Amino acid sequence: MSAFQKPPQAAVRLALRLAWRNLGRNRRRSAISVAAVAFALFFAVVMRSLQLGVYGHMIETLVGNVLGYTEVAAEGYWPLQSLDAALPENPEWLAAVEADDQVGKAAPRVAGFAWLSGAKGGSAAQLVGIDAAREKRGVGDGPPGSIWLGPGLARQLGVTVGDSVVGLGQGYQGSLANGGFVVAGEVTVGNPDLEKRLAVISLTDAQQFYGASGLWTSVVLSPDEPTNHRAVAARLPQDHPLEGAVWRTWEERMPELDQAIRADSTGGLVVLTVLYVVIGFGLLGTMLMLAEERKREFSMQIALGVSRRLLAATVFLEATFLAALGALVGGGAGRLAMEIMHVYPLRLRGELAEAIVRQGWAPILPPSMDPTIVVTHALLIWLLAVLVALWPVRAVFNAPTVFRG
Amino acid sequence: MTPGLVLLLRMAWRNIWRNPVRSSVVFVSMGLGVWAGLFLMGWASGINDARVQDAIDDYLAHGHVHVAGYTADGTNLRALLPNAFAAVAQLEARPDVRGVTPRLQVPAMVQAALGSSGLLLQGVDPQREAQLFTIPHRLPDGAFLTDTAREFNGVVVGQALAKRLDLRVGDPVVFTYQDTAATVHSTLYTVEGLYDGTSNLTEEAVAYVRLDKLATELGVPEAAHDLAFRVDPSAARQKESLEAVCAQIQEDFPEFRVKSWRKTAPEMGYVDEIMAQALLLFMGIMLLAMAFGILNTMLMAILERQRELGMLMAVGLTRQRVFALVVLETVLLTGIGLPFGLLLGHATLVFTNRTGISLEAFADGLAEFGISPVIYPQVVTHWYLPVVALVFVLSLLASLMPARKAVSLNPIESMRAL
Repeated sequence: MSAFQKPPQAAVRLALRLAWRNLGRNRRRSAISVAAVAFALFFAVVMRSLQLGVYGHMIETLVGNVLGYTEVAAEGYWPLQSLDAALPENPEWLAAVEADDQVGKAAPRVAGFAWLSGAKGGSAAQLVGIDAAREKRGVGDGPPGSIWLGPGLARQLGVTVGDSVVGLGQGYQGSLANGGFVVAGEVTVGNPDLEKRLAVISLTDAQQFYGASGLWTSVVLSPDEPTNHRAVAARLPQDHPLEGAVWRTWEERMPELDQAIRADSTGGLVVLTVLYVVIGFGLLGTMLMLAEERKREFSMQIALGVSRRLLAATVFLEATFLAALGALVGGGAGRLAMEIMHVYPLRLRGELAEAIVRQGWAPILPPSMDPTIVVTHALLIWLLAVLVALWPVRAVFNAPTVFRG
Repeated sequence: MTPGLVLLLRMAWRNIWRNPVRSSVVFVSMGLGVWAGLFLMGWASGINDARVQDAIDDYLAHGHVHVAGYTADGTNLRALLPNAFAAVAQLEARPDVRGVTPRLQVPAMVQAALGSSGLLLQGVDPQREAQLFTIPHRLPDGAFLTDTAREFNGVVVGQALAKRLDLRVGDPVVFTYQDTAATVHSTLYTVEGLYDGTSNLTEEAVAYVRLDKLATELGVPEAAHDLAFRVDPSAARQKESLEAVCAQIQEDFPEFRVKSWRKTAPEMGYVDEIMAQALLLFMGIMLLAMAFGILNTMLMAILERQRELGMLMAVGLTRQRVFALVVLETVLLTGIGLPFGLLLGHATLVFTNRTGISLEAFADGLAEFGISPVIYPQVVTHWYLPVVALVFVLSLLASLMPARKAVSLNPIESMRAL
């Protein structure tokens, strides 16, 4: 039995060894191809991580801090968010939901709008009563009559800690809501626009202010793991039913935000597709060369009795190795960049930063640490390379047995 | 051009066609890359132009006059323009101004039967407002503060707010706000109309009442916070000409601040530039990725021609010329795809600019950002030259390594090579 007619297992091993050695035949070309793949992947990973990170940050500030991933409220509460559609307090049910393994936080709120007046001015504000022990935000816990204001709101009212603020609004069932508060501190949620009109008081103070004793306007739930919040939201109503209540995820309450994120995300994917197509052509060029420069060799090997399949497997594996190396280097570098940006997030400066703040967002670009980003894009680019590797495979099958060059 | 250069060019050109398949891969990828890059730029530019135009027509106008310390969110109530109407008349008399509208702005809380919310209450002159903006003309229901029955207590609110508070035309609402003396007013208004703004955010954030009514309530007759004006469309189109007009107006009102929309809403103007820069950067990254492919192709070409290059050098082709030959070949190779990409990109932009591209699927999300669901990509001719320059520079860079490789060949050894 000659070296070229080994049993299948040995043939695979031979193909692998040949493919690996072939990488070293033109080291410079191999290095450039690996660099091209690595470069594209690195860029794709960083871009995607930043894009998804910004969405994550947006969702975290708006949804995690304010809206809640899932909101349980009485039927008719959304979209009016009227106090009149409030739920009766139900501590047993709340305790049961809190005890659920997949629930990270469950907190009742009493929310409404009120006109707040301070020493220098007034402003309409969303005045929210929260359960300090459950929200764990460091606000809402103080002597009765304490209020925490968003920094922008405090500036507008011209008040600081210790000053008093008067609230005036519409209470439960059309009653007049009024009361005085003492500023106990600031409440920040990462969105300056929202902080211009957000004030927090304790749950019992809110119930008193709005004349809504024994009522909750909503209970906000955050899952342990935000990524599977939809599955949790779908399961909870069955496991912990509450009469007269409707469960809504943030996507249901804020379809515009959800759609805006999807639209922007799609745009990012279009851009990456363009990049991948270009990279694909670059790799195709390499594969063409590879096939071209070995035409003579292929013919000779075939003439000597090497099976075309073994040869095809060798070039195919060679291309796969190239792409895998590139994916490894690019993916590793991309992940490293993610880790670095996670510790030192990119901070926007100058006019751009001002513009972002004006839109109501903090001027930082936090990366998403989702490990699937690297895996998905590494896999994509590797698949692309495998597709392109079909060219030299074709060349092997088309190679004439007698080559005259 | 020296005869030597012509010869080199001819050699380079012929070399390209020695392996048409390989060269075609480079042309196609270059053409495709340039085409896609141009289209993305035109697309982004189209989105932004429409967004800016909608904002100008909705609420932004071309420029504003106010006093120092004024903030657009209405939080500085005392930043009043005294004698606002005299200033309006003076502005209107200018030939380059196409319309002026005075406005009073006060943050307020709106209370309806079923809920309440915070917003900016804007006191406007209905006729003048209708001359400058499209909102007074975009009322699915009701009238824009012209209903004589509700003349003094009518309010026009956005559709999104109306939906949230379940308001219809004729419904009573109470607005609570503070006047300049910090006295709190709670005044009953009647919904007179619902407006359809471009962005849902605006629809929830701004409500309109009559200027005279709000001025009386606030105790500031004849005053306004802001004079919004529009200039001649030809002057508004260019950033420089608009700034020039604003500077001239500023001379008329030395005691006030005159600012173009780019200064009052900088985020609108920057998005344009940021997007374009980001896309040019992306284009650079894409071309750089392409440069790896070109680099490989050229290296390959040099290696397979080792013998021939050795011979050429042996018979007297100088190293400088060999270097120039490789550089020329690379630049030509990339240069062939470029015009096709440019032409295709230009044609696509011109075509889609006429037909528009519909994104109905994302309509609600786009409305959130004030983007209309039909996008008209812009023909971004001013980006063509930078793109060409970028391609040229990158292909030059990609040619350096193969050119050096070619120069470093030893003529005698190369001739013996396989």
